[in-house]
Formats: sequence, C-alpha cells, structure tokens
Amino acid sequence: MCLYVVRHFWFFWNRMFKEQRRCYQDLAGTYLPSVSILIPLHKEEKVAADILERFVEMDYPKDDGRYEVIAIDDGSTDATPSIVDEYASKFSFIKAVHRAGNGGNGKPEALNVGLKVASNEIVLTFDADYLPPRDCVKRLVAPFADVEVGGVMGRVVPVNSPESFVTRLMDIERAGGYQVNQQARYNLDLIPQFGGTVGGFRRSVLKAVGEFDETKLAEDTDLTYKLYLNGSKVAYVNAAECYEEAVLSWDMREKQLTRWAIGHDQCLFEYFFETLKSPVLTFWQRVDGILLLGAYTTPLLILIGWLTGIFSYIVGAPLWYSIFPMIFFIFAYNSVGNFVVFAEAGGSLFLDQRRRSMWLLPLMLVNLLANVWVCSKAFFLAIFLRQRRCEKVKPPVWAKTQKRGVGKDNYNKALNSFWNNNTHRWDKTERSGNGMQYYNDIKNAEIKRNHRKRG
Amino acid sequence: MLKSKGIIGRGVDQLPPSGYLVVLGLFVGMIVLCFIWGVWEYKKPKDPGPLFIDLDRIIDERSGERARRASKAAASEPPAHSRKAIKVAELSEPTQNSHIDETIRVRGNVRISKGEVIPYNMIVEGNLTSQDDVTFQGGLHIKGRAIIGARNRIEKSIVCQKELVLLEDVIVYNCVDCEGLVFIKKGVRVGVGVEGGGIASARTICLEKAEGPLKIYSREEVRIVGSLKEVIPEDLKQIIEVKAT
Repeated sequence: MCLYVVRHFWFFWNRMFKEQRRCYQDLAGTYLPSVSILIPLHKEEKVAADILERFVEMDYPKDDGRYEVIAIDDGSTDATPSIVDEYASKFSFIKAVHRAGNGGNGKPEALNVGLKVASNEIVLTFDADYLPPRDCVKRLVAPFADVEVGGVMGRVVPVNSPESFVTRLMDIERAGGYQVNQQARYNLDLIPQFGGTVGGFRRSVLKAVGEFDETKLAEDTDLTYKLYLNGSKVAYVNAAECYEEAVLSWDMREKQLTRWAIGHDQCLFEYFFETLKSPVLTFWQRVDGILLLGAYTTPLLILIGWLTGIFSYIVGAPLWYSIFPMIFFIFAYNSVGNFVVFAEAGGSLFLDQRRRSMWLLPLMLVNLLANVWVCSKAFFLAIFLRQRRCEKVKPPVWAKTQKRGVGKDNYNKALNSFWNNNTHRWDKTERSGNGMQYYNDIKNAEIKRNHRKRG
Repeated sequence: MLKSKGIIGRGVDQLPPSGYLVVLGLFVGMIVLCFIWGVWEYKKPKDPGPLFIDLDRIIDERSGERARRASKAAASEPPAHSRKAIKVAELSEPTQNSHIDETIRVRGNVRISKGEVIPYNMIVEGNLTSQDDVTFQGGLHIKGRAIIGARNRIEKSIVCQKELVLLEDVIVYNCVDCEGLVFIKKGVRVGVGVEGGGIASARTICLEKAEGPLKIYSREEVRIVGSLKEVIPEDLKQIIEVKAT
C-alpha cells in the first residue's frame, strides 16, 4: 500500500511540475492512415443517432475506404437496428452489422464480430454514449505513425456531471484518472492503460496476440497487458478528449465498478507472473505493471487496514507491533495514503481550471467508501469466478455424504444462481440519452461567459 | 513547578461535564468543517460544469486559439505560439505504402550496409546508421540517434528519441517525429505516401534549403541554413564522415 502511495504522489508530481510528452500530436492532421471505427450498440436507441451523427461530422477524409464506421447492433430489441440501418443507407462509409438472434453477451464478443468485417489496419473503438469532437480521430491515429505503438487511448470527460451527486463525483474521479494518472504514466514511459473506448489498436498486433478474450470482463486491461508483453506500447493522448455519459446512481455505479474490478482481478491472476518475469518490459514497467494489476485490490487492503487499525486500538497495539511490523505501514498508509487519490483529483481540477469543484473533494470520501465495499466484494467474486473456470477443466470430487442424492444438484443450482446473478452477466450500463442536451447547455454557458469576458 | 500549580497531574476526572461536550463539539465541528464546503458546492453549484470540449473543433482551430477552459490539460499539445509551421509544397502523386506487419527489435547500435533492403519494422534500442540506397519497407523507431544515408527510402515513418540526420534525397513515405535536433539535407521528401505525413520535433529543425514537400512543426525553431556543416554538432559530423568512408 505504501508503494501505491509513493507511486501516486510521484504521478502527481510528474504531471504538475515536469515536462509533458508530446504524444505525436504535432503530426495530428498530417498523418491520415486508413481507419476502421467500431461502435458496439446493445439497446442504445437513446444515444445511437447522436454518436453516428458525430462520426458523420468527423473531420477526416472519407474517400476510398480510408474511413469506415462499423455500427454493431449487438442483438438489440429496441429501435437501435433501424437507426443504424438508416445511417448505413445514407452514408457509404457507415456499415451496419446486425447480430440477429444472438448478441448481448458483452462488448468483447461484439468487437470480435466487428473486427471480422473491418477492413483497415488501424481500429478505433467507441462506446455508444460517447460524443467525440471533430478532431478526435485525427488525434487518435497520429501515434500509430510510430511502429512501437500498438494501442492508443484518449481522455474521457463526463458530459452530464450536473445530473446527480454520483455524476459529480464520477466527473472528479475521471479527471484525476486521466488528466493526472494516465498522462503521468505515459510521461514516465510506464504502462498507460488502453481503456476500451476513445482508443484503438493495430489490427495486426491484436491478431498476433489473439482476439478479444470473451471470458474477460475487462477486455481493455487484458489487451493492454497483451500489447505490452508482446513488445508494443500504448500511447495516451490527453488532447483527444471525448464526452461520455457517466452513471447516474449508486446502483448503476456498483454494477459498473463490479464489472471493472472483477475483470481487472481476472487479469491480475493471469498476468501477474508473466509481467514479473517479462524480458521485454523495463524494470519500472514491471513494477508499474504489477501495481496496476493490483489496483482494484487496494480497496480491500484499505478495508483490512481500517479493520486492523480498529482491532489493534481495542486490543492494544504493542503486541501487534512485535508480531507484525507491517502494522506500522498500515498506520502510515491510513495517515497519508488515503489522500493520494484526492491529490490526483485536485491536481486535475486545477489543470482544468475548475477550482470551485475542488470544494467537492472531501465528499469523494463517500466514493472511497463505496469503492472499498464494491471492490472488496468483487475480489472474492473474481476468485470464485476463477475457481469456477478451473472447475470446468477439472470437476471437483464431490464427497457424497447425503443419501438423498440432491446435494450436488442443489450446490450446482446455488452456484449457477449465484454466478448468473453476480458475475457471468455482462451488466449493461443504462444511458439516459441526455448527453447532447447537457453538451448544448455547457456550450451556451461557455458562449455567455465568453461574451461577458469580451464585453 | 507545573505539578505544584496543578497543570500536570490533574486527572481527567477533574474535567467538568461541559468540558467533555466542548471537546466532543470541537471534534464533530472539525469533521463537519471538512464537508460543509462540499455540501455547499453541491447544493448551490458555482462550478461551470464539465470541462468544455468544443465538439466542432478541428485541429487547426484548436491549435490556433484554444477555448478558455480547455485545460492546460492538453498537455501533450503544443501551445500555439511555439508551434511553427512551414508548408513548402504538396506532392501531386502520393505513393502507396507497403504492408509490413513483422517488427524486429534490436538491442545495441545498428549499421546497415549500402543497398540493403529491410523487410521489417525496426525498433532499435541504440543508434542507427544506414549507408546509402537502403530501403526500409517498414517503419523505424530509434531510441538513440539516427543517421539515415543518402537516397534511403523509408516506406512508413521514422520516430527518433535523440538527434536525427536525413542525408540527401531521403524519401520518407509518412512521418518523422523526433525528440532531439533534426538535420535535413537537400532533396529530402517526407509524407509522400497516400497516408500523408510531416516532420515534427521537440527541438530545433535545421534544413539545408527549403525544398520538397515538407510540413514541418518544431517546438523550438525551424532554421534554413546554407549548409548543414555550419550547424551540425562535431560528434555527429565525425560519424557522418566515418559513414561516408
């Protein structure tokens, strides 16, 4: 945990006071390779037209198949298929892919289907609720001029932050995560993460490491590690900003975070030793890679730290000191470490010139508590998931003790029910579809501010 | 003395009941104080909302005049005043790029013989020196310095982390991106592929005359000189002379 504290303060320091890497943005607009854009859509009637409209308006040469948009209708039962078809019939560079009678099993599966019909080497992916500016594609493809770059990631900004308390907190969390954390990791040549949206990859590199793993709940983290372990890098483009709709309620947030945490923990189990021993990664990349893999286990460690602190306060610390010197580090972390995320968020708000939002920082404690609960739970679910996957390979020996013979059935039933209700399902994030409305509000406010400033 | 005055040694039990309430009140007050500003901002927001991103922006507009709140954020983007551009000419017929997927990584310095054809993308963890008439069918990423010989052809891009020298009549189909000084001899053409491209550097770019289809961006300066010999550092000059022999 203390390593995490040092790491994050280091990131904060680097982002605030050190020179920032250019990330090939001087080439943006001059280098225009052929690009395929994948947009998986599962029951996205509220937002489908908005995102397709954004790609129609995108500032990129749309001739000779150099630019293609592949809208993947992933088994939608609402108006999504007709919206997608309408755009495909109007614009030759938009392709509609329908998964009739199937689909809805998660983004990785939909992306793999889309990849089959994509014809270009560079592939970008966007979620359905995203609103990219017109320069976004030019900025994202620029790093691919470097043969060492296998993936690219842009910055995500919630558009609906005024919508609820949760969206305001998500706004701050995202700002810290991208503006400071990702940028610093890129500056320091560590492991910036491919986030699965507002990002892209080389098709040939993905092909070399296999396609998207459909058993993973965080296909983006999985691809990040596959790329790095294969000798490629991920470039983080802070200037490629893109709006998204943040989750509205704690309920939605819990589902989303559970999915991310389980997916991340799956990658931890799979890539921990490989990362540790990798000959292609530098020493610091290996260190960062391991810490990044364990990022979603830190809430559990925080919880253990808090419980240990309370317990040792009641029972008496001296005994603990003599048995576990580690307790000292737990206290140290609890004194300083919990604030590191707040420092990153504060730094990003400062850079974004949103100083009034810093007033909300103490309320991020609510978010921290929620994270501690959800990620701790998700860690055990991930272990359960792994165990379950192992069972498929080698079924456990069932020691029969009951004569009724229903024990195993009941166990399996309970297991399946638990599994289906908790982890196996790809929990789709519901969209309010208010993104454009919020954007128009922000734009009008910005115009008013500019007028006032000039006047 | 302190003890005699009763400051030390006064037991906790001597604290009056109202004292407990004051201590408790102070404690709760300190906690509430932390959150009160947050609650205030949440209830009566004065934050202008999410970071403004102009969805209609295009590259030129953004680098010319950035929106007021559009962040230092864009750390990786050059500030407009330090971005210098020279657009000399466009080539009328763009050339088709090769499709090379295989990438080789070399640890150490690399020297490539005259007339060689390299059918890979190359990542060189050292310096690269190529003799004349070499064809790179892929792209190059050089962690050290690079001297690209006369009439070399690079069918993708060059990314170099230190100094880069492009000798006479080198053709780069896409881009050149360099963290160090760039020296370009006459007759060099960059961005002739169908995907286009240009030259960008974090440091100064020195050109021997301005000719050919070049789009150049430097964070420091673009200098046009009569002869590169005037500006090229001594150690690089020696390498180039050795290469020539």
